[in-house]
Amino acid sequence: MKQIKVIGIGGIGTALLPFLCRYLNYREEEVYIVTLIDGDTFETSNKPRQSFKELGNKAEVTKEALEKDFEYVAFKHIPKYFSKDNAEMIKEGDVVFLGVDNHKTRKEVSDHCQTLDNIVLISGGNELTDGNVYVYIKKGGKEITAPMTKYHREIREPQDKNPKELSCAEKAALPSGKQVLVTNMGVAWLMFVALWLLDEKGDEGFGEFYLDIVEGAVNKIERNA
Amino acid sequence: MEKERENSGEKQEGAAASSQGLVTITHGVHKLTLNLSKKTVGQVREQLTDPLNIGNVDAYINGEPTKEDVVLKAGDHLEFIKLSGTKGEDFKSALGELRMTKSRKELLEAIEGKEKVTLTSGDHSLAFLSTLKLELPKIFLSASKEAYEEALAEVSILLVLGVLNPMALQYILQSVQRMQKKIFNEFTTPLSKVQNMARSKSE
Repeated sequence: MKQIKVIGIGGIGTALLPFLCRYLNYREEEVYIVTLIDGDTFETSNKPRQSFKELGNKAEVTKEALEKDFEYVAFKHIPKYFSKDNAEMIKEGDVVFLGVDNHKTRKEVSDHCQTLDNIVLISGGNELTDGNVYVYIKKGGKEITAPMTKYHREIREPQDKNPKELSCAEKAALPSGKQVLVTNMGVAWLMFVALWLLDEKGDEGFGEFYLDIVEGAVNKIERNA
Repeated sequence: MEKERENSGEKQEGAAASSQGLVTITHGVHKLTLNLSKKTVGQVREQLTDPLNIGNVDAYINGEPTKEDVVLKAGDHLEFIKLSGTKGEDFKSALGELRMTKSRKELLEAIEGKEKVTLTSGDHSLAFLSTLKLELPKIFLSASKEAYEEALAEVSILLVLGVLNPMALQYILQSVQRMQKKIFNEFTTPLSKVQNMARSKSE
């Protein structure tokens, strides 16, 4: 049984999940349990970039849709925002896909993953037309790649808040954001590429991928521990 | 066998770069190999800030943090770490909505004092709810390039003193520069120059 955790079921998460689950559904070597984690709810305003058929908690609604399509994958959902208080939801041996829009959650996930001995963390984020995917790997207690907090000051010292820390008024005040579907898809694709490379080529040479839609470019940089 | 060939190829490439004084510079998807050995990190940053759109980001040499006065050696890999993505262009647009979309005529009216211009930003990804409200009347009441530079430098002092989030200020400065371009039909003040002016003023 291999545990996959997907944190953040928004623009990147909903773009990633269909082809990630298709890939897992037809891999015969393992049985996969995919857990979707998000405390947010789908709203009509999400429609241009996020795939859902009904309103409600993002993790729950997406889980119900995916389990109809992928019968060989087991699905779970946790309708909560990840934070250091519930960090135990990420466990030894997990493969974690992180597609959130704030640095505080990235730091909390990264910090928790560093306490584990065996973990793969694939974190993606984007601006309007560019983005990045960071891969953190720890095996048998040994870091194969450096944690993203080593290179990314904005994650090491986040200036923002975890959505769990926000009041309703603060959440309502969040700007809606100007994003484009192609960039979300590009980052989701790169996160999937990272998993495929790990499965097919092993963990040598991993690190960070940068993507720029307008430049039509991807750059891979090693982040050795 | 194939791996050995790859490794051998990389070594040859590295040796060639080293013998020619070449330094590899990366920032996001951008990758350049240039003869920059004996230059400092700060000098390279200044040269490449505009072409590569490098903001106020950390520099690393061969995977380790470095300082601006460190001299580059042949074969080094200098990386200006591109910030992780957050949420589209919230911050930029929240900050510069008026200012980017206003016409040159409206901006000229602002210079004449007919309108007070305020730059406002409240992007949660940078400084959530500590809404930044910054008035720059000097900038908009000044019609000369020199006065603009002076006003920008004063704003930049906030960056140096750490009053503002560096990323927030970076966007402010970029927004103001775009306005400058609209008003003067040219790009008058490189960001690096403004930052240097601010540093020297604050010392």
